[in-house]
Amino acid sequence: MTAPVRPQAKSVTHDVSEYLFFSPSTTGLSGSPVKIRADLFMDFFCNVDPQTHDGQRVIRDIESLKIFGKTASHNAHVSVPARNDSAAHKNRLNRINQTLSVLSFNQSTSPEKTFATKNVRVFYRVLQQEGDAFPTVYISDIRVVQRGSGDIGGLYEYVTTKHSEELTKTQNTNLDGKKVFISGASETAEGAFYAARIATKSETPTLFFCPQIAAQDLSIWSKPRLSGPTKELIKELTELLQQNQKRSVHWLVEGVGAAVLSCALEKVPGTLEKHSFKFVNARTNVAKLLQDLGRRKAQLQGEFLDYSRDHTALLSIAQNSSEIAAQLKHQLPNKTGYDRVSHRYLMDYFHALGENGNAKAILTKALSIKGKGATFIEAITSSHKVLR
Amino acid sequence: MKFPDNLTGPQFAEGDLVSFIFDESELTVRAPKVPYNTNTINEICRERDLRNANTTSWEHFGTEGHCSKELLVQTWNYEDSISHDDIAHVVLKLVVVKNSDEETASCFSLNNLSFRNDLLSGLKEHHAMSPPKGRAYWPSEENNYFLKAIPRDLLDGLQAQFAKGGGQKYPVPSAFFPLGRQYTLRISFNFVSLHYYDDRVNPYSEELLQQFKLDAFDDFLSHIRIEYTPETIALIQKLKENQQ
Repeated sequence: MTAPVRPQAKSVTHDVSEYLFFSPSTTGLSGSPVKIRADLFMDFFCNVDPQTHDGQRVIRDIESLKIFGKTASHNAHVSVPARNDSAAHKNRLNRINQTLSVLSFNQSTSPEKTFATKNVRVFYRVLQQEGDAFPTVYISDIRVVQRGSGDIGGLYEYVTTKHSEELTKTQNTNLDGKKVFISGASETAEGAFYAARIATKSETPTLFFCPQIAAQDLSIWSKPRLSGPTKELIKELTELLQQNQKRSVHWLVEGVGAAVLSCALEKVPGTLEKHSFKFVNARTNVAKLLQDLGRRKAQLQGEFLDYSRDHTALLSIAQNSSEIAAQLKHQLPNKTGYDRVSHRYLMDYFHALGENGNAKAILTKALSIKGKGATFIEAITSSHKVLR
Repeated sequence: MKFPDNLTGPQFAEGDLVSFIFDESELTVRAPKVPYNTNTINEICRERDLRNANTTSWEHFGTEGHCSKELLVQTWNYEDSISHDDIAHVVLKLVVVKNSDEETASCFSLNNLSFRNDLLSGLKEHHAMSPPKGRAYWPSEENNYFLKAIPRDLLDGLQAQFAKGGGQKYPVPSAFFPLGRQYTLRISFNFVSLHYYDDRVNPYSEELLQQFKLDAFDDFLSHIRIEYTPETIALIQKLKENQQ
């Protein structure tokens, strides 16, 4: 089974045909043009939502690069005594200056620069390529950088008294009969707990908190690069699964929590027959996760997979729809009673999500936005609208 | 409120006025206008009239008949206006706590001294396990959890700080206001500095941010209005006279 792959591998390139204008205000009418690599579409789409405050900040900050193109220009100019004032001489001199200007930029002369805004680090160069009327900002890569509060990931328990509410990192690893919420990436444990309450419809769920760094390390579009805190997080979940292997535990897993679980399962031998799992907006390779759980005889009852308009999760489903359908159909044990109905419903639902024309169209768009006439941000914005 | 350096964020003075009516009081707060992000929590209880409230769906805890309900939960970030980096994250939570029948009958919340004593004994009971370990800023029994009055015309509110249990480096400021005999308002302002997982360093010192946290919380509290019913006002005054 293959991991979801991004439409195209990223590498720094200066092939002009790979780039398109970033937004309508960076086409060069005012300031320098700003262009971006077309294959950054999926990274940008999953991490920058133009409808949000943060998304708008990122877009405006990238647009402001148009100021730098002009200031980065070099004074490459041939100056000769004006002894020959003929038009032909002036023309030749202008051509030489023009060529020199292009050469000086392309030799760069223009080392890769970087700046960070919000959750995005942008890598760019100022170049004047063939066909560029002016020095142009070329964005060759973006990388997503999350941030956190320092709240430690792992198992938390909630205690409320008349005067305070405490979310305590607990050492009590006995999860027998408990409902445990593995959170999506969140800045604070308190924010994750709020999501846990809504998702579990319980006032006092047990929380397994996943900080934002887990989302950065376990992005579904790239190969996992595990930092220390994420390794610790996976280790803690692995130990919890092992220590509670024979106990009855109900897991509700959201977003990137599914990726953490997926990594933890790799290190858990034996079965998880008394463990039931439900997933909401799983941001991982769902097909592989289902295969691993099926192999461990975990309970996947009723409508154990759900989706609530998380774009990244939907695109992951769309890209792996056939594998997910195969897992749902063949790998999971036969259902009995009402579970047969909900299993069928689930298969139909995920088949429909996988075949969702909009999501497929966005994946296709990621491959083919070049040469459509629209700018990068226009394509991103219209794609977000389509999925709403 | 003037923010230090280049910090920007929601101004409480520009927040939306939100009122909740209880049997013996009406509470009005300024809910900050928080920027929309996909992970933003911006929940304000739709039930505004809590007179003769049915508390069966509230969160029940302990053995004395206490229960609580969230009135408002909001999250937002403070940003640097130049770099646009997120500097600090806030979880603001307003909860109404229903007192036990015994507490309601005792009218403890309608007297500044007994309200203070009740809070202090509760904090001592539940937060004794979080020692300061040499940290001067850490709330403890010795410094009365930084308990201080929030002066109001009829009944004072109280402000304290305590640990939230998440291994945070700094305590969470909280405030308590009596809403009559039956209910108490509990507010927590969980403010944490943010750090990007790259080479960006939060340019604001922890000292500055911790001071800003306390100033911002004071600013939020200054916009809280509680109006008691005439019967409750009469009862508060009667209790005052009896005390003298």
